[in-house]
Amino acid sequence: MTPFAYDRPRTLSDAVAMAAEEGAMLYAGGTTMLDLMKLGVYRPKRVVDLTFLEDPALREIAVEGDTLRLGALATMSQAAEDAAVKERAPVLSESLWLAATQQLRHMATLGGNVMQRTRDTYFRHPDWLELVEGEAADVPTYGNTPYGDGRLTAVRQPTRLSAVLGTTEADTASYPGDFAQGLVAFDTVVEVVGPQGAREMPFGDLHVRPADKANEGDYARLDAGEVITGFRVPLTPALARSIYIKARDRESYAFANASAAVGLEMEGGTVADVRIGLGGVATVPWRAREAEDALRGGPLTEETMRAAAEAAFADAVTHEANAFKVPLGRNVIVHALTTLSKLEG
Amino acid sequence: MAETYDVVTDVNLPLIGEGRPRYEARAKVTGTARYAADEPMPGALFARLVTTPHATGRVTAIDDVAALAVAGVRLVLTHRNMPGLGAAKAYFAGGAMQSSRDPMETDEIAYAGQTVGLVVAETPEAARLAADRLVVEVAPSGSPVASMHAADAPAPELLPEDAHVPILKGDVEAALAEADAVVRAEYRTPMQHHNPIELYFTGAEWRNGILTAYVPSQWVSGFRAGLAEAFGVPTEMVRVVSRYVGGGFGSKGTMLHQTVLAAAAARDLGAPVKLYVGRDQMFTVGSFRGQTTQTIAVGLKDGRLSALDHRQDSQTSRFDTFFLPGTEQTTRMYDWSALRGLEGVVRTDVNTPGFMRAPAEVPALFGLESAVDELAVAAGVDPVELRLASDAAGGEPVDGLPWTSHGLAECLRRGADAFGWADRPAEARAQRRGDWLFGQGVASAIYPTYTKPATAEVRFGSDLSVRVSAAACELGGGTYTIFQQIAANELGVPMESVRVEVGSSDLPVNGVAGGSTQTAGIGSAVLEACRRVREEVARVVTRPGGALEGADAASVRLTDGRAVAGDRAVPLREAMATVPFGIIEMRGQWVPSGVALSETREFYRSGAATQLGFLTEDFARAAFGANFVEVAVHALTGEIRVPRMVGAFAFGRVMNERTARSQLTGGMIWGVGSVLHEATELDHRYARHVNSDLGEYFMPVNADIASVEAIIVEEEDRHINPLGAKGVGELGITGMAAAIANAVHHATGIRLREAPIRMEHVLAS
Repeated sequence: MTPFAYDRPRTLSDAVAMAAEEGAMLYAGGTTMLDLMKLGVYRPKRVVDLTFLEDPALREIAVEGDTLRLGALATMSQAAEDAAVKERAPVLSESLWLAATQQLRHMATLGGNVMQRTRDTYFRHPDWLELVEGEAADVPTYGNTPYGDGRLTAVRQPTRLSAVLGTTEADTASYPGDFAQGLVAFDTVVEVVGPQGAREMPFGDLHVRPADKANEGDYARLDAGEVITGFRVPLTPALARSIYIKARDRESYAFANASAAVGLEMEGGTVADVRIGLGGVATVPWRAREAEDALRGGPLTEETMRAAAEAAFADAVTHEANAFKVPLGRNVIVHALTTLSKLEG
Repeated sequence: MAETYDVVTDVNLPLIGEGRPRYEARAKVTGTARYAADEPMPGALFARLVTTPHATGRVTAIDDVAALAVAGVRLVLTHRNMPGLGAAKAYFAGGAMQSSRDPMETDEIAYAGQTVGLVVAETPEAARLAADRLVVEVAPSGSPVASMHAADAPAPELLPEDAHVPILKGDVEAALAEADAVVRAEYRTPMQHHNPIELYFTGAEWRNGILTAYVPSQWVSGFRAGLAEAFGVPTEMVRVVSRYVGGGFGSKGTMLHQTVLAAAAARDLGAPVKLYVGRDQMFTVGSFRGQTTQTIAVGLKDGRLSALDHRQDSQTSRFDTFFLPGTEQTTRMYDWSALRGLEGVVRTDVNTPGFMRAPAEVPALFGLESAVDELAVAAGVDPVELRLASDAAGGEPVDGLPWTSHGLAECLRRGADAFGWADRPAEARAQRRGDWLFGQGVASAIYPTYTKPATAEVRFGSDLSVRVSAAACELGGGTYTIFQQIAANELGVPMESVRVEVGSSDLPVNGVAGGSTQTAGIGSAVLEACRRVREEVARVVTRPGGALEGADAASVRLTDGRAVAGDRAVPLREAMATVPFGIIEMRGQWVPSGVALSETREFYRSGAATQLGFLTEDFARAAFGANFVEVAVHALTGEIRVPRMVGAFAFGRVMNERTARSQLTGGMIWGVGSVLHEATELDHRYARHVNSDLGEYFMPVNADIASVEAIIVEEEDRHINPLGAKGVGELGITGMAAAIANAVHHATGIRLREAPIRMEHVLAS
């Protein structure tokens, strides 16, 4: 680990000012960040620890009118246990419960959670770069990672973990989180404060898809010094009747091989609203709009669910090691919809 | 000459011994147990290994300027400035090293993750930073292959007879041709790496010419020999200390090269050095379970298993021929009328594989016990009934030797009863509850009983306190506790009066704590030492003027703090008051029948002597068991879970019911991980691992393990050793992989022949 300076600001404005400095990175729980620092992926000159910020709104979870607001510094366990979240947005609570371990959930915050990086081995171990022919003598850095000269995408090949949706030929690294699938499916807005003041953006715009990257180090659409302060999730009937299904190799403490954050609102026999977020299968938090469109306004039958699941993966690009993610992902969607259809609501 | 022991009356212990809590339990749960890395080493420097991502090639340039510029860095060692050391031999050449190859000897790279440097600094952080900054340039060469199952892997080589003698009986081809049903199939097992909680570590310190190495070790005597050899110093100038091992399972049974490196750095720097190996480095600088391919044909005739043709091919490195002949076990499992067992290897660009809990049995039994299940399905017979009908209790199948004891049939029956096997539908894919498909599978378990010479010392003081000492190892299996039980029982004192000292090479020499040999082997030496103490007490009390004058010394027993002869007794405190110096010290040694005393002459220097396995001249020896498993497979996701497992095991006298059960259930739980979770995966282009951390290298968590039941079947064995005890440490895992695969087939109708078995394999079928 490279030596770094460590700051503990008490106010958001101080944090923003410190975070805007060159080489600074934000710390919001550290459960992924410290790993990446030890692995030599993150090489901050300055670590700005947000967990001592005093503004209570950063840790609050509250229903404000027809919106659920989650402060970015609320911990995963706090959000998972929150009564309003459980009642009004069960998918969010479940996705947090099914992620990591209780120890990690006590440490990790929501803002940090959505910023977690891929588990892709090529990303996590910079010495893969040494295997690329024509190795550069100096490792260039980009956004506090050693990547930015194309060697990461040159060495990477799909593994069992790799994404099948939102990929490019060279970049198949999957987004590993769970919480973000619910956020992306239910039109969440991200609140951001930065050197230019406050702004907000749709959660679906936060993460950069490989095809949209100008540089292989691009990850999130946040400028230097910008801090995520909260998430606003519109409260809808579909969110109240929602579920998170996660298929994984063991019963706990594993990333998803495929997961689905699904919400359903029925009017009689017709699908009034449906939301489908997919995890474990895509390069970014993924909303399966084609699948939603296929179901909305029609009946919910085994046939329509299957058709929607097909639509969700129509553009999937697979490789030998991860081809199973397509049938698995489809079945997870069907599993979630079937389960929801049996719930009161 | 066959020996017979009256193990029931001679050893005043029940056949299933009391489940006394662990001697070291409090120390472990309160964090005061001192593991190797916990040993205080004032003034120690900190070392970090540097490894290369390249699998094959040569080091062309080393730039250590940036590394040496890190504040506090004291030494950067690479092959260019390695001090010349004596060649420490690999264990298969009579030494203690895991591999024959010293990775720092030349500029050659033989596998990805090979050690190419060592950095020593004043803090761990500085060592780590400098290790990151050490530039070791490699010119890659060739097309490395790290998987024997890769398309471009070299062809398997059948081992020559001087390496492995084929196991042959009858005409197996003819027997298969005459069989009523035959299954021919190939099974594959993966590469798996050791990931005990306690990482590899070496703390090395030279003082007055004496090297002390604190290193987690299953073989302190062997490590001492290896270090003495490497540094060219007399045996007694080396001390290896390993009071506790935080997970051994074979990973710490042989010495790894970095232990020598740390000691070399400590010598050159004139300061103690602590070397911590990182979790990711555990995947390349240590020992692992290599891949195998099991090519099997089994035949059934007249309702019995009649013929076995089994070839095992094992992954090895380019530079060592390492294999564990699993066909030795499979050919002895059932009463085959004809059989053939062949062993081959495939050379790949990996570090030399090694031992991992039941190293020969786990892969070989995955093959055999899956094939037997396939045959039962094909022939429409119950898999338990088929195994019972083919029982080899009447004699070992290859050479016809009698078994010292043989518990397979009883284990199958007892396990089946406890599991409720009779309620299992014969048809596959017949039990669906909600989205889950349920199935039940069975497999036999076997582990040969190894025996090797052992020594121990017992000191008995006039206040009736006892010290038992031996260069044994506490791997978590209960060594301390069981030695305490043996001594307390034999000397008639409370367990609380017995102190046990193990885990140091200064204590009486012993072989590796491997092959499930410690309790029975070193325990027999402890028993012998205690008996000699008893004999001395008896001599003192029965001599003229003694409290039991005139009594037959041989009849004297020590019990409840008294020396007893017939209806006469004297308190031991009185008896011991008449002993010169107030102390009796005795050495016990045990040389198993079939090993000549002359074969122990190198024992002191090498820590090793002849070890016997399945066969002696007179007997065949093995522990048996039966694993029963229920699995649930999700109909949509293919997720596989194990709600219930029952195992029944017979392994001679059980010294401590609690520690034995813990060994068995631990093995069964690891079996779940071994077949469903664990696999080191590769990027074949670079022959390099892609999941070398615990985030992606899976093993079971608590939520994966629901109901686990281990049934201990009482077994009296009068031939195996004075205690009548067989090894139990490795038995529990041996049948698990096949039991689970068979249960998955029963649940889904899908036969999966390659481990690990995962959701993608269910979904693809």
